[in-house]
Amino acid sequence: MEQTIKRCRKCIMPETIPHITINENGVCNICLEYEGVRAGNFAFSDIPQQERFQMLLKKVNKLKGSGQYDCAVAVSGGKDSIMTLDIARDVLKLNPLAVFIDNGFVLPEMYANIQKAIDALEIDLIQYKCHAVKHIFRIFLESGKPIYYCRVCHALIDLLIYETCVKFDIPLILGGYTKGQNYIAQSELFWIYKITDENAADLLADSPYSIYADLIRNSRVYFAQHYQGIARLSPFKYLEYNEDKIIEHISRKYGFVLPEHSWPKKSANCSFNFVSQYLARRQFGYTQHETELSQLVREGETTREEALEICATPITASDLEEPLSILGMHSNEIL
Amino acid sequence: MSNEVALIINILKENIVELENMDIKPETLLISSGLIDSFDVIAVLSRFEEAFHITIPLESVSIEEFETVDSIFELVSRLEEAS
Repeated sequence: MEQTIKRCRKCIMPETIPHITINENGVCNICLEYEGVRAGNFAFSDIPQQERFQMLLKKVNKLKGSGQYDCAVAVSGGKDSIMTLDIARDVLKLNPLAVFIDNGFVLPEMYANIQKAIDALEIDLIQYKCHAVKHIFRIFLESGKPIYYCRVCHALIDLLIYETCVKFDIPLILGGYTKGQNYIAQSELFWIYKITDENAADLLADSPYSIYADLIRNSRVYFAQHYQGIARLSPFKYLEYNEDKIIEHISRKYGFVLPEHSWPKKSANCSFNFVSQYLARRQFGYTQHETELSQLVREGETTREEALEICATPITASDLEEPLSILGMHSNEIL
Repeated sequence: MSNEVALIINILKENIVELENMDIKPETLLISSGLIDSFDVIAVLSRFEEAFHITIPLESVSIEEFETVDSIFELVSRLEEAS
């Protein structure tokens, strides 16, 4: 189901006019903007590693709680969240509460990964199974409207994490967001988010899940208004990020296992990613996976070849069957 | 440098760890440089509201308006006029 795609020769962004354009030298507008910003301007990544780490310590000490838990760590069972648990406990010496939300599509290896890590680190865990996600996704799929499903799911998961923080009086959430997932700087995703938010909120408003419509219509504003005292940060902003080293470290220390069958390879924790990525590429041309990997390539934290290999993981009809069967649907309904 | 611009720089340096020891100029890129992120912006909004006696309407303000001290000054001035 892969098509020939014209990609930037520096990163991996696919040409998606008018949002991603590629010039006569084969370079996309995002890389050109990035080079313009970097030329002569100081960047956070220019700060020496040790200074960045001191900033992380200072920030965590300023923001952490004084109650039963210092912070919450949002865990999915993937490599980044398990590494964040490790950093929270062993590097930052915090007492975190791990919060795991199963959206109904969690890959089987994730449960075991979380269990092994929290047992080894003696970290308390709160676990939710959120059945609403599958019903909401079915409503969206039946509508046929362009929606980036991961965007909606992240908002619903974040809502439960914030609510957990309120319940336990925790003022800080640590997340395993990589530098590439710094979506603020990735304005190339904003048009996708805008269409998604409008379509999803309209559909939810007329559904049994209308309580989520305001959240989905503008999640940034919703969280800022409803959870003002809760800060979020990602330790990866301040530390060296090396995927291979992280996998080696948590595999050795906690018996971490990569999912056998996922999209993208090595980087997913959810079987619905196959559907989400397939539809998003068809409806929008690209998703946060391409923007994240492209940003990591620009920052020199991964190579273009590695990023291309990850994104080239094929999505077949049979990949779509398993997550769709959870919704009582078949791949021929979306192909 | 106007008093308002100096106040904006002070608020940023006092509230965002990454900027504490930075030489921040009105045109320094804050977001695209990776120095601050959306979580930092949200955390500092109430400080700007208190200092300038304004309400920052989240629905109609974009994160890009916090890209530089100059752009924050423009935002604050616009909201001061509106109030």
